[in-house]
Amino acid sequence: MNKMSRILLSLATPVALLCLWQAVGDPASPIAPPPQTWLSSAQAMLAAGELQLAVLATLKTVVLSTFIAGVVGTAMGAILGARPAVSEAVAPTLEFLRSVPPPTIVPVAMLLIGSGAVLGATVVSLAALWPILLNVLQATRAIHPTLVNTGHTLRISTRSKVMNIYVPSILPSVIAGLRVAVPLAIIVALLVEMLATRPGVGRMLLSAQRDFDAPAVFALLSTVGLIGVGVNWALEWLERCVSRKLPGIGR
Amino acid sequence: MTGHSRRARQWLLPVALLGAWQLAVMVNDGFNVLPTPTEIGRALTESLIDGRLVADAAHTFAAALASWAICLLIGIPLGMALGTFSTLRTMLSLFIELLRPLPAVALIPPAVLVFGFSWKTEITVTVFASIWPLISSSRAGIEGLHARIFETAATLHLSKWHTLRSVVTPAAFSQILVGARLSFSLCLVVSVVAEMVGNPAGLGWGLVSAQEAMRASETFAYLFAIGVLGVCANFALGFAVRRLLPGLAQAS
Repeated sequence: MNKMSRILLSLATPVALLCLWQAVGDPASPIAPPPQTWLSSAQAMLAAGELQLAVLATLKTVVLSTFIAGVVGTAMGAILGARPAVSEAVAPTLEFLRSVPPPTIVPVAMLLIGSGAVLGATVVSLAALWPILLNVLQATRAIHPTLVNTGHTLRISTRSKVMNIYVPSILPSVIAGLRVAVPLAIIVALLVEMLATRPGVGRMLLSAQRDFDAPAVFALLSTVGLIGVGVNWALEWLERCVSRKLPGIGR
Repeated sequence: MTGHSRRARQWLLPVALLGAWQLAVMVNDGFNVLPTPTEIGRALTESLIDGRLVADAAHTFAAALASWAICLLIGIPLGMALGTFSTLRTMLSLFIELLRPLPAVALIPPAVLVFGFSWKTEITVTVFASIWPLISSSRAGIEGLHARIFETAATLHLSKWHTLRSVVTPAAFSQILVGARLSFSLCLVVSVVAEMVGNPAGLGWGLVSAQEAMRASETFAYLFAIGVLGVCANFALGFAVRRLLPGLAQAS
């Protein structure tokens, strides 16, 4: 099978399903309206300007929180991982905190800090912190002592040690952590918007469901899906770039 | 360092943190919403005694288990089929690529439209969100098999069904098990989330309703219970995997 026909075949399934839905779906259906109605609903929301604002609000929370989690998680992971005694002492505590599902922090955080503007960034960065922190911690612990000792022997500067030993060893694990953290951040951001009625796609989705506005629910679901796919592709691209720059290190 | 003192050091941090928390709240009147660990402990024992917490945990665990069973029933055959037939793989690749990154929470509103606020919503959302690791690990389990395995089966003139049952499935088993384990942890988390927004029952709903009633110590008690359930499930699964496949535990 050549490449062209493979692309066509992979496109065929989703397109065929959507066409089938369009053909048999009842436009007035309260539960599963056909795709055409999603499009017109999305157009109406775009024309009113609310969809763009909601997507921007959600993305802002996700990007800001991922950035915070990335910086704090990498720093904490590297510091804890570089000292075996410390990382051994904190391991069970981290293990328990990690097994608390991040979405369940949302109600507790609402109690403590209210449902203001800080809530989203706080909870989402906390949720995104764990995958990055634990990945970096493990990568730091796995740096072979010979590598560090070689640096000592060659008497390279601290800056050079960081750039040539620590960053190449840790960076792939940061990216791997991000691949888990960012989808999690999207989930928690949507949940915060739903539970605390903060502006964003999550709140729009929930209010569309409460109004029994099925086309809007599916339009927003598709929007969220597109965000998910886009983020996934971006992260894959980032991972490829890093592994091209650092061949042979990491895995 | 002996194992004994290492164990002691591992307990040091949580105990110190809890002690500092207790003291900070008791000394400072400003933290009027934050309960002390002893208050949380009292709320925990109260809800344990009146049976609410146990009933909620049982609901969540049952929902997660049921969803996991559905994931196993659909995910393993689908993944194995994807690993075996390249045409099917091509046909479904983009479809899966589009559905998989869909955040689980976003699925709750359409599921509520279809099923109402019910256990059906919870199970649908949980299955949808937790099936992906099983599909990809079953697929990878088959794709990773050496061609010689199939050649040997062909040399022995095994039927297709016999090859699948006695050659392919055992060879891919360890990979599938990894996906099954991941899928169960996801099932537990997603059912709690689905209960928070989509199905008013179980631990997720208990957590949200305690928060909405501003019962702080009960909210923390529920959070703690969810954490403990997660740790126990993880431990039990790890134990089961080690029993089933002693070799795998050393590899991972």
